Amino acid sequence: MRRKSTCAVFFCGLALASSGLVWAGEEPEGSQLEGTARLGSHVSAVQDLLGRVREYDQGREELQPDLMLELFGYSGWSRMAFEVDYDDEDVLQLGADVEVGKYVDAEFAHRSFIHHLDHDRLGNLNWREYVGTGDQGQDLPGGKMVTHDDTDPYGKYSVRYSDTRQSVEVAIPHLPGTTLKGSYRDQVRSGTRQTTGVDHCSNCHVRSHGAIVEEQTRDVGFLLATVRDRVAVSYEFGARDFANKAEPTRNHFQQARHPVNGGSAEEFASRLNYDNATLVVSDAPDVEKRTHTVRASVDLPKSQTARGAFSYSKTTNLDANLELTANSAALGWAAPLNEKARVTASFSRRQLENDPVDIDMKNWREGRAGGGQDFDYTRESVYDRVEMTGTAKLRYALRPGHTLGLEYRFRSIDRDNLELDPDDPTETQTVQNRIRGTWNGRLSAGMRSRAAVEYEMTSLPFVNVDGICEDGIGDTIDPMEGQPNNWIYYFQRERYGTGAAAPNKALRLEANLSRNLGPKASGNVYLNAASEKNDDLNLFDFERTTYTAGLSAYLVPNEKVVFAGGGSIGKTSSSAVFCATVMDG
Amino acid sequence: MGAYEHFGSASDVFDNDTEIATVYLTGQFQIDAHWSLDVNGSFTNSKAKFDPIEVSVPEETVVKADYDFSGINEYSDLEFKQLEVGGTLNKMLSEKASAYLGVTYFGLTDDAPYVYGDVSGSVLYTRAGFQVRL
Repeated sequence: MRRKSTCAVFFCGLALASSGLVWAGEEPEGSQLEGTARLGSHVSAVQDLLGRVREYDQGREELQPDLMLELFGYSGWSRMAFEVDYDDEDVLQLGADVEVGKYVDAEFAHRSFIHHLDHDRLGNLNWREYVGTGDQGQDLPGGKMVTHDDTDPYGKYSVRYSDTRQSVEVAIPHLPGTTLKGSYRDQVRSGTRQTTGVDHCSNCHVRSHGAIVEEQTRDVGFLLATVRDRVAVSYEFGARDFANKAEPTRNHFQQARHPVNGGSAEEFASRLNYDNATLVVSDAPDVEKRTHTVRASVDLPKSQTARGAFSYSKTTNLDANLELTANSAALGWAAPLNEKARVTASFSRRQLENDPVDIDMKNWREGRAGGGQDFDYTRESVYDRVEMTGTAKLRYALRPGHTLGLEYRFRSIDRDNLELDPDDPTETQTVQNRIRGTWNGRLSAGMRSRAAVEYEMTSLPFVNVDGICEDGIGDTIDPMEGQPNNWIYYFQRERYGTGAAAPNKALRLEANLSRNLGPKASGNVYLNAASEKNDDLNLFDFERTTYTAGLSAYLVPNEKVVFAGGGSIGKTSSSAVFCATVMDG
Repeated sequence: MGAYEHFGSASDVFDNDTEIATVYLTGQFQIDAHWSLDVNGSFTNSKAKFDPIEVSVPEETVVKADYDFSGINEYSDLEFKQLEVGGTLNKMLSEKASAYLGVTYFGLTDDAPYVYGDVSGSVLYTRAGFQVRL
């Protein structure tokens, strides 16, 4: 069924092409067909693990075919290109581009490959509380522990990805400048992966499973575009459907009780929403997305151009019936100021709105002394936002071969449901200003250089307000009613540190020098560097320094020898804060 | 009021460093009118590491819980060396037909195994066949 729909657009286009459209003009004479064919075999010898050294290769140790066929040709108005590259039944590439007459262009492309995935052995999840030393000098273990088990210890995980695209574009014969395009894309991921279920409290008992992957993403697109005089207008519709067809993985969540003596079952169970139950874990929902986009551009007097676009999309989680709507609009303008200077300006606005999610939980320790707290809440999405971006660019030709550029960019992200300032919960807007200068010049015959420098300032970048590090509680809070006076619960603890990995100041540099020594030698060197910092945090200054440098060269010593080579080095250093809560066990 | 043995967070600021270096070389040799050889090689060394975390823990905590952060930085160290060396020998059989034989060695050495265990491995990949211009 899927194969039929996959081919539908492609062959529909061919049928349309051959159904008697009216050709204009005189058809060229002659035809030609040429190409290349390869027939061979390949084999691998694998030692130790394959998954990392050849992450996208099967590594088969039996002979496999090595087949390739490329054909291209023309006849009259019609042209054709065809490609097959076959490694094995999972690693395959196909392509076809057929222009039937002057009015129909049909394209087909397919590729598939294997991606090996890692298997976390969970071996680091072994820990048990130490509560003292026994009579014989041995360690005495406590009740708090971290354990794991792997239900699929020999599992080797991989996913086969296939991507099939087809499109047919038809130029409407009686409407010059008007085209109609239909497209279809089918992506399939199938195989196995690792998934985990976590028991009791975070990381206490982790159980790994092998999970089935069977996902399909289908896109259908429709585009109608027309150009009349100085105006171009188009409408595009896109439909995307994601289907998760895999049998869900289930994890058994153990009965809540004391991990050593098996007691206190009621107390432990009163703190959990479920226990002693087998439930689906790590399941992806079916999702659909529908998008409508209108674009227009117009050529104005004095070589000016203006363009605009508006897009509306709605994405629906079909399992939970939750919707995300997005509206975006963009405007742009470009104009020459004089023979040496040209300016461009653009502005865009995007608004995202998600349905809120009601989180309904059992009351905390219902029926227990000091318990009964209701932690139900409505989860508002931090993805709800209004984004605005404005840019202005000036490009100036200093003299032949030398160009200067100056660019200013303003960006604002106002998130509806995220605090960014620990001192002011009403502050939800990130504002970023960036200025960038570029230079592109011909230093001498055969030598060119490019350089760019930019400085960026961000007010209230994305941070995790009061998300890390706890103050000592000591005797500053009252115990819960009926609880021992030295017991505290997680929800009574408060964090005070603001964490971040986003800078509020950034300086970035790029430089490139290329030298061409005629047809026999050339070389290129480059250096990129960035220094980023956030000094507006209460615990530490976040700093990140990045540089990459490299060179490449091409040498032809004589007509029988060609060399190419190069190298690169990159280094990133960033700071982070470590916080571990210290208690009596 | 209770007497809670909750001493707040032990804290330190540390650096995380990643480095990657790559060199590559390719060569094409037209040996004579019938024979040609393509060779290629590359080597990549990549590392990631944390600085040691130096925190002071309140003395009273040691009585009941022996906190030790000294090995945390080593746990997530990563170091890989990747080598790829290969060549393809081509023989023109006629104006339109040729034969080829290619051998490539791929090697990866995991010098600091992470949670996935030692992922070192190597592959010797061989391909041979005929190619025809139509």
